[in-house]
Amino acid sequence: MERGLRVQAQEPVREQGEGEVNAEERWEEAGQVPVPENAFALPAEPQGHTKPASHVISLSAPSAGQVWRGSKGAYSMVISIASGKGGTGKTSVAVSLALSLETCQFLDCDVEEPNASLFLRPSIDRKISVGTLEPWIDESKCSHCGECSSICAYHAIAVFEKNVLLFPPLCHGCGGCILVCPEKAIAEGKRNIGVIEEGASNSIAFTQGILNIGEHMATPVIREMKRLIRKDMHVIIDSPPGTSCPVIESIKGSDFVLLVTEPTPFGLNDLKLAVDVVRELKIPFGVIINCDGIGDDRVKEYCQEENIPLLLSIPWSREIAEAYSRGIPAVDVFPELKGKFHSLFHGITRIIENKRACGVQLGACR
Amino acid sequence: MKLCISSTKNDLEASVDARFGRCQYFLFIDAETMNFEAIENPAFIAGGGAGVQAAQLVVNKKADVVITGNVGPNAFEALRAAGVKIVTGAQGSVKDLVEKFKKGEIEYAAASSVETHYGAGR
Repeated sequence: MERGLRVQAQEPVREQGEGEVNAEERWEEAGQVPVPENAFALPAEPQGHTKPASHVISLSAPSAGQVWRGSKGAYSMVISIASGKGGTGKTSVAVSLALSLETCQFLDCDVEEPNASLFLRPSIDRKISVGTLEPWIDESKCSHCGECSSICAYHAIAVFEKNVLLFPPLCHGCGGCILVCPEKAIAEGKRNIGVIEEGASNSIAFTQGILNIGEHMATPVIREMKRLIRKDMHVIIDSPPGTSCPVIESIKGSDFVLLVTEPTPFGLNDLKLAVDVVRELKIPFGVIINCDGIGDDRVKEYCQEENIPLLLSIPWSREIAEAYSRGIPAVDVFPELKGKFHSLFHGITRIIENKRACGVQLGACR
Repeated sequence: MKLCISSTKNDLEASVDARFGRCQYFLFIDAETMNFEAIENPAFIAGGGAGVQAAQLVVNKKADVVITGNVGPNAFEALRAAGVKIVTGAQGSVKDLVEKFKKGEIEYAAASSVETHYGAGR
């Protein structure tokens, strides 16, 4: 029975006195433990700005099944789901959020191991192959000077007295070797590295990238995927884990990043790394704690100290894990969760509207 | 005959480094005179391509034989293409390995001994 989720209302605190954060809304079900009176403030807005009342963030409570359509004049948003640590529930959250919206575009950018399709079960109707630049070396023109080898930051070319060797898996496709070759012995070739699949799952426009096995460069595939981002609906991006290039490529230009973590020392450590990245990219963000109850309170304490909005806590639940293992999204098992995700979405919308009202440019990825 | 031995330190008493691409030092040793040159491996903590980088260095230094613990596939292919002979599975001190080499108590490897990223500490 103790599986109710809690959505904690977020409200940016700007002016002292008035600024006591109040958890305006919460999703309490009968018999559920009370939600602690802790909500978190957003990072401070530029000083001197007076916040219109309409931009006060509140999580109003649409009933389950009701669809949040955004406030008047709302625009469609790009929301990325990321995490430092892997296995915290990015895909679960992304899928649940997508299913809670009436319609949206879902991008599975975890191209090294895309798995959202296991839950959304889309029909695929279009495939686009993705390639990257690869040098083609004409050995008959090569003088074995070694210029290409010495400029290659990734050591993808070795040049010996009588031969030259290219290691395609190490090549990042920068084309530096082509530029420096004094003999013009290197031409611009292309290597297929993956595929993008487009389709639909009910009212969700589905896009996923699949990197070929053995390839290491995920970013070109993700970059191509993001060119397919639609302007006429909300976009949910399921990012790869970690903080490296594929993550940056996935989340950059988003309106908002949801960082999913677990309340463990590993979760906290990697959350901090992810927060550094998102702050560097200047994208508004909030945290979701998944499997709440398995660890300790240090993630909550960290969020509080850092003024990071803690938008949702999903308690650890065997039922959710079992459904997951069968490819069933959590919102399909517990329809009441949809309300919490609507509420989450609503909260994100208000944060974004607030930022935009303050003149913050967001959503550059389209 | 010029040997290249992957080494944990920059002298002949040091023990061989089990990693080729990500060893600490390369000792280039003249087997006859025992004169040697120690070079710190620039790819010690490289993200990728350490083996190819190391192979390029070995070939540029004109070594004839590489003696090491393990060699990955990229380095193996590069060394073989350049005609450098490879000994894997080496243990003990660099000095002893040179002696063994001189006595012919070594066997050349026919294939790489580990996968890529073997010595990367992950």
